[in-house]
Amino acid sequence: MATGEGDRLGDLPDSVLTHILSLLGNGKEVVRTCVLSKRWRFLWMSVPVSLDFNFPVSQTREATLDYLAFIHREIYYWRFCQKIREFCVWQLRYEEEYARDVDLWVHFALKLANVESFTLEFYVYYQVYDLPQFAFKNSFLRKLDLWFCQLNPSGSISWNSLVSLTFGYMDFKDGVMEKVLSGCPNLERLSLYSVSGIHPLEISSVKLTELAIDNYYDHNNDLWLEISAPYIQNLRLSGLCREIRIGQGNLASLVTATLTLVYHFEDEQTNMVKETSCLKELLHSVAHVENLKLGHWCIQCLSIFEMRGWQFPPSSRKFLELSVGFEQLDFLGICSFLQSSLDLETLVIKWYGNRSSDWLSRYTSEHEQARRFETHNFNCSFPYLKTIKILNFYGSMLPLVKYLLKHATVLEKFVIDAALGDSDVSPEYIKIALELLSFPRSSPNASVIFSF
Amino acid sequence: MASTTETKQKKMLILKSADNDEFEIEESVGVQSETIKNLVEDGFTFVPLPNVYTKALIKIIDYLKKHANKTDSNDEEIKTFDKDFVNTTFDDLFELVSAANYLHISCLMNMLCQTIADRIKDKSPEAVRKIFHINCDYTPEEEAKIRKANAQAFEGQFDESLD
Repeated sequence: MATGEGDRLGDLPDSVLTHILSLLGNGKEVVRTCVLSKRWRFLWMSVPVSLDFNFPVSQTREATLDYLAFIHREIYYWRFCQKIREFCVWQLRYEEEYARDVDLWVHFALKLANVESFTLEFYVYYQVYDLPQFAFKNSFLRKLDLWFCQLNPSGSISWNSLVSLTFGYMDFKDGVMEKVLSGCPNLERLSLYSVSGIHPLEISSVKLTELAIDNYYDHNNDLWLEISAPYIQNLRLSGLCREIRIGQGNLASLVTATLTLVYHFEDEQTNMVKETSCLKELLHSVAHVENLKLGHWCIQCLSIFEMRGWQFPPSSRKFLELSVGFEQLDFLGICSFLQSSLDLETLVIKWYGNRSSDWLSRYTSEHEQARRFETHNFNCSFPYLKTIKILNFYGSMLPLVKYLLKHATVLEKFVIDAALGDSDVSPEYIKIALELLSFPRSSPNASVIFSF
Repeated sequence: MASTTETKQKKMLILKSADNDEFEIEESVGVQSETIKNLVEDGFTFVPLPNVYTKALIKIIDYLKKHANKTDSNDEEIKTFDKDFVNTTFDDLFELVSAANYLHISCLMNMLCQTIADRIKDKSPEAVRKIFHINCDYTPEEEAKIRKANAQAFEGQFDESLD
C-alpha cells in the first residue's frame, strides 16, 4: 500500500475527508492539502467552496484594477473545482470600463460554475451595470442578490430554480418585473431595497410567500406601487416609502405583517394628511392578519388617528408587537389601537429610547397627552390576552402597565425586561418595581416576571 | 406497577465491537445511529460492528446516551459534555470519526469533523502530515512543482505545532 501503516486517515473514505475539508472555511486552506500526498492531490476539487470577493474600502483606480486582476486569477484557479456553491462580489465602484470584467464573473458563476448562490453588489453607482443577456437563463441558481444593476432582458427570463431573490437600488423599466416574476416559478422570497419603477406588483405564484420592501420611491409621483399578492403570507414594509398601496382583499393569505415604514411625501402642505391616510389604508388592508408588528412612525400616527377620532377597523390579530419611541405621547394611540385588537393573545412592546417626536408634538404635547390618558375612560377588556412582554422597560411606562393590568382579564404572564445590563439594580428601579406590583390586576392568575 | 411496565417496554440491543466485546443498550439510544436503526427496522437485536473498536464504542455509547436524554433544560449540560468529548488527541478523534461515519450518526460526524477542521486550521502542510500520519509520496521535485502551481495558497505564515 502506498499510504503506509501509520496513515490514520487512510482508513477514512474520501467523503469524510472532504467533509472535514469543507469545514475549513477558507478556500486556500483547502487547496493547500494538495501537497500532503498523492492521494490528496485532487481531493480539494470535490470540496464545495464559496468564493467571496470584497473590494478594498479605499478604492483608488489602481487598487480597483489590482483587485479586478486578483479576482480573475482566483477564478482561473478555481475553474477545476467541481462544486462552487456561492459566488459573491461586493463593493466595486462600477464604471463602464469594468463591464467586460464583470461580464466574465457573471459568466463564470452562472454558466461555468453553476453556482447556487450569486451576489453582485456594487458600491454607489455612477454608471449602471447592465446584466448580460446570457444571465437571464439559468436553472442552477437558488439565491440571487443584485444591487445597483440594470435589467433589460430582450426575451423572457428563466430562473426556474430560484428560491430567494433580492434587488437593491434598481430602477425597473416597464414590464421587467413581470418578466422576472413569470420566469421564477419556484420563488419563495422576494426582497426589494430602494427600488423604483414597479407599478403594479402582481404576485400570482402560490409558492412566493414572503415579500419585503424597504425604501420605495418613484420619480413619477403619480404612479403608485400597487401590490396585489393573494398568496403572500409574510409581508414586511420598512424604510422611507412614498407610493405604496395595497388594494382591499389583495393580501388574502397574509399571516404576518411588519410595518416599520415611514410614509414620506415631499410637498409640505398636504403631506401629513396624505401620509396618515396612506397608513390608514394600509392598516385596513392588514386588519385580518394574525401577527402584526408596528414601527415607531406608525405608532405616532395611531395617536393622530385617535385625536381625530378615527375608529380603527376591527381586527382578528392575535399577536401584536409595537416598537415604541415616545412613551407618554404614544399611550393614547396605543390604547385606542388595542381596542380594535380584542382577539389579541400576545402583546410585545419594545421601547427604543426617546426619538425626536417633532411632528407629533406639533399637534399635542406630552403633558396634554398624559392628562388625557389619565382621564380617558376605555371601556373594554381583552378576553384572550394571556402574555404581555415589555422590553427595555422604563419608569415612565408605568401608566401603560397600569392600564394593561387593569384591562387584561385573563392575563397569565407579564414579563418586564429592564435591560439593565450588568449594573446593579438601583434603588429607584426597586421603587418603580414596587409601584408596579401594587397596581390592581383584573386577572387573578396574572404573574409579573422581572428579568434583567 | 408503572416501573415494571416501563422495563417491559424498554427494548434492548446488543452491540458487538470489532474486538468482540458486547454492550447492551436501549433501542431508543441506539437508533440515533442510522446504521443501527436500519438493522433494528429489519428485526435485528444483535448488531455486530466489525469496524468499530471497543475504545471508540464506549465513548460513542456515552455520547448516544447523553443525547438521547436531550431536553430543553439540559442544553448547557450537553454542551459541556460535547466540549469534553472532543477534547482529546487527534488519533482518538480519527478513531471516533471513523466509527461515527460507519454508524451514520450525523450530528456526531459534524461535531468531530468541525473539531478536526478547527484544529488543523492555519497549520503548515508539514504539521498536517505529522498529525494525520501521512507519508508524503511526492518526490521533492513533484512537491515543488505542485507548490508552484498553487503558489497563492501557500502565501503567508503557518502554524507548525502538532496539538
